[in-house]
Amino acid sequence: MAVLLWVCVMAFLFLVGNGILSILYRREWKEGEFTAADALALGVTAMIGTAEAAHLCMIFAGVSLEVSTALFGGLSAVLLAVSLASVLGKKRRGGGAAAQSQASLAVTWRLQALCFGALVLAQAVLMQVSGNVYLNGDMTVETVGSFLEENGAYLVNPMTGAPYTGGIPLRLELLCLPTLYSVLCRIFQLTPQAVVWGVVPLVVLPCCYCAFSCVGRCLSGQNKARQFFFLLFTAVLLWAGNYRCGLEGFGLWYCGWRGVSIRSLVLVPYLISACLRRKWKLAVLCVMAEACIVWTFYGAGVCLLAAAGLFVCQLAMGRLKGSQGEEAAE
Amino acid sequence: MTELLKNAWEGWRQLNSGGKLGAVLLAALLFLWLTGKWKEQKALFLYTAVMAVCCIFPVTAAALMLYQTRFYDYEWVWSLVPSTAVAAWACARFVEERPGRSGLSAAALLTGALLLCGGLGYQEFDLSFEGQERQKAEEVLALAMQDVQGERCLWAPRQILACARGWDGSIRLLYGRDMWETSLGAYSYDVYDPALESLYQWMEHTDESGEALWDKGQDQVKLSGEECLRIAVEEGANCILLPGRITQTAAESLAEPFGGQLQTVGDYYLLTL
Repeated sequence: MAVLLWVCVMAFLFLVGNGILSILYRREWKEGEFTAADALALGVTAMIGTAEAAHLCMIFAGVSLEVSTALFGGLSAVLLAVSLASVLGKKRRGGGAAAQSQASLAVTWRLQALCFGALVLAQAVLMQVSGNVYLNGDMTVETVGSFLEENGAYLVNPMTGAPYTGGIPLRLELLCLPTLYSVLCRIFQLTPQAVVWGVVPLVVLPCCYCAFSCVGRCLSGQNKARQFFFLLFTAVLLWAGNYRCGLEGFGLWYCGWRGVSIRSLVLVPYLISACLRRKWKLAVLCVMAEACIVWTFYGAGVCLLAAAGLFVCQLAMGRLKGSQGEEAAE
Repeated sequence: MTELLKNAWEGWRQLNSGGKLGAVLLAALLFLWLTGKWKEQKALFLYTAVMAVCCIFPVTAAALMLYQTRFYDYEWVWSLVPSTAVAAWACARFVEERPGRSGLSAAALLTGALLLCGGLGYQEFDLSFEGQERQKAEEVLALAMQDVQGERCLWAPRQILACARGWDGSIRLLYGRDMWETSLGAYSYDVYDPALESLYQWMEHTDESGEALWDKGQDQVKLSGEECLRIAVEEGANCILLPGRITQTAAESLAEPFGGQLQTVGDYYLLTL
């Protein structure tokens, strides 16, 4: 069931991500602008959005987890249908996010991709075999367990199983990851530990590399060798940086299910690639997704500040370039 | 504010105590600057450099810590710095310029250097030991819970309580991980009754006779096992695991007033009511 869950989630992310891209950029779609990596990374924001809708219904409308699961399923089905229709329409017109990237793969590039794939696979296998998880300051599994047990959100304190005496901060109550994991547990009949510690980090792993590959494409253009080395060194850095909490590698290896890890590994890299390509609509999706999974300053989190920072830097560099151009002309 | 500044300063020092990936980022920025490669993506370079300085300098780091809310510690402000992407960019550019075999040697050399900078096996936490402890605790829980009927309310040493709710969401606890992991206190406004805190102190510090001394502020409070068990039962505990360091005689005398079943489970005495 865990394998089935992984396959279903990856397929959902890919299809819905493709759908969002073709809806958002229907008019200004250019050949080769988006790839499967874009679709997968963007699919994460779609899944978070769907889960947030189901979660808010539980919190504010007081519906049970059962109803929320049905709602999540329904919304996902609608999203999938719209995405498929949109992607098929795009293909008929001669586009498609993933198709174009397959055509021009040289042998060397394939070998390099194989090498990189082996490295990522080794990471995935090691993550599963070691089974090491970092739980300090985290209570996701307990929260998911209490949601499943009580058939609702935050009806008891996840730490004790007793009703709350003082309540819970509203900003924390709005975060949707526990509901997403509970819904997946319900649908696939898996334990919270299997979903949270087992499957989710394995979903975050490829999505993380997809997000980084989007950054790599911005930094390398059409230079495939540079793209390969960029991804290779990203993998090495994520491997090397697993010694301390707060580092991206640590999040990937030991706590991939946490909101802060998903933010650092998927949302922020993808946001950077979106900002570098000036795809501000995609950046907005990342900002919104972060607000749904991480306790932020009233919705203003790392993604918003990074997007603002990159926007200002682009403006500053544009001005600098402009003034240099003027000086040269003079 | 002083505490925030202190945390920011200490945070940067601690971040570089195990591995040296902070230094790798600075070296990458320097390389991109000196070779002029930063011009390929000026905005990203400028943003990373400014943010890295802001995260290192305590005053700006403290401001960023306020922005990210006090819910998170210093290390999370580094989420603002795309350090992995920029370091990988610099490494890729370094290798790419060396064609053929020298390129491969440079890649191998850089990989080795990065792994060395990354702590090379050093970890701040012994996660595999924690995993083994969790597995042991789950085995004890499985044995302890098999005969308990109806609603189960558990009181046990913290290594058992730490994984009880994750193992089975239907088990109720007198107190949870947030009793000793203070960072978890931010997840709710609930506070523990002092009586429950004394139960925790007794459970963790009891000697072989079932007595414990609790350093409560400047006073030392003597906690008796009988009293603590009485409070625990009044609070609803019907499944109690006593630590194995208590002698058999002391455990039996503690269990006697409650008339429950006392048996040995792993390194613990199990009292079911």
